[in-house]
Amino acid sequence: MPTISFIQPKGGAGKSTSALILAAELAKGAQVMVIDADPNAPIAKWTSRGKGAGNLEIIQAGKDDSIFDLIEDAERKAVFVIVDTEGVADLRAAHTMSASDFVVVPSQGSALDQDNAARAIKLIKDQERHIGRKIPHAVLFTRVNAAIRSRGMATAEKQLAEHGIDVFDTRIIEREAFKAMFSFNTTLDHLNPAEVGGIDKAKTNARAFAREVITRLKSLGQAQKQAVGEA
Amino acid sequence: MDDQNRHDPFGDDDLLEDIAAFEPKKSGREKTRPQEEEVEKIAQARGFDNRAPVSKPVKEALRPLQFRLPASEVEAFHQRAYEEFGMSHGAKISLFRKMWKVYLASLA
Repeated sequence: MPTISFIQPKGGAGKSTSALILAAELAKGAQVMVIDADPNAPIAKWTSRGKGAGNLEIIQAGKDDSIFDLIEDAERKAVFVIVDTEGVADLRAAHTMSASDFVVVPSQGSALDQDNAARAIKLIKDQERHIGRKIPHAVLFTRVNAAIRSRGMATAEKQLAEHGIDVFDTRIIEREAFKAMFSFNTTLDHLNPAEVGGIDKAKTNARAFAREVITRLKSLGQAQKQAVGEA
Repeated sequence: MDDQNRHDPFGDDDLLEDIAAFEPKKSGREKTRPQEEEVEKIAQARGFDNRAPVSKPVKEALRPLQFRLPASEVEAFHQRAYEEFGMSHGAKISLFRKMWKVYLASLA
C-alpha cells in the first residue's frame, strides 16, 4: 500500500543504499517496486548488472516521465513502492514528496547534510499545508561510525530533538557489506561471507530499519482508520 | 551503537507477517493527486527548481615549470613569497601568478 520516498537534496547521503536495503527487506514478504528517479540510476544499474531479487521490480524514471504517473502505476501493481530520488533540490523531489505516504530523509549528521535535510523537511511542511494532509517523515542517520559517536552527530541529534523532528532509532552503520551490495550487484543475503565481512551485522541493521518502517506505517494506518471512524 | 540493532532472539519476530499484511492500494491516488503547478510554486519558493545538478568545472591539467636561476635570486623569491602569502604550500605559485598578471597587464 504505501509509497515511501527517500529525499535529501545533497548527494552522497546514503539515499540509494538505504532505499535498496529497505526494498530488499520488504521484498522478503511482499511485492515491492522501486522507482529509480536518480538519473545516475544506481538501483536500476544494480538490477540490470545483477540478478535483482525475488518480489522486487525496479523501474527507471525517464527524464520526462511524470513521477505522479509512475507512482500511481506502481501502486496498482505492488504492495510497497519505494522512490529513490536524485541528490538535488529539484521539482521532481518536490513532486515525489507530495505523492508519498512516508518520506525518509537520510543524513550523515554533518552540517551540510543537516542543512539540506532541513530544506527538505521545510518543503514537506509547506506541501502538507497546501495538500491538506500530513506527509509523515523521519530523518535516518546513515553511514554512521559503529564505534565512535562524533560531536557533529551529537549536535545533529540535539537540533532535531529541539525541533521535534522524528528520527529513526536505527542508524545505517557504515559497513562494507552495504557497499558490497552495489559492488557485487546483489542483496545482503546473497553476498559471499568469504569476500565480504560483517554481513550478519549488516543484515541485522537492515532488518531493524525495515522493522521500524513497518511499525511506523502500521501506526499511521491505524491512525488513519481511527480518523475515518471518527469522521 | 551496534547493540541497538542487535537481534533479540527471545522476542517474537513477526516482521515478515507484518510486511505480508499490507495490501496494494485498491484505488489509485488520482483523486488526491495534488495540483502539479501548486506543488511547483511552493517548491520554487523553497529553492527547489528544475536546475540541473551542478557539474564540476573541468580542471586543466597541470604541468611543472622548471628552470635554474642563481641561488640568491631563488632565495629572494622564496623569501618574498613567504612574506607576502605566508608559509603555505601555495605561496610561490601565488607570487608567480601575481607577477604574471602584472606582466600581462603591462602588455595590454
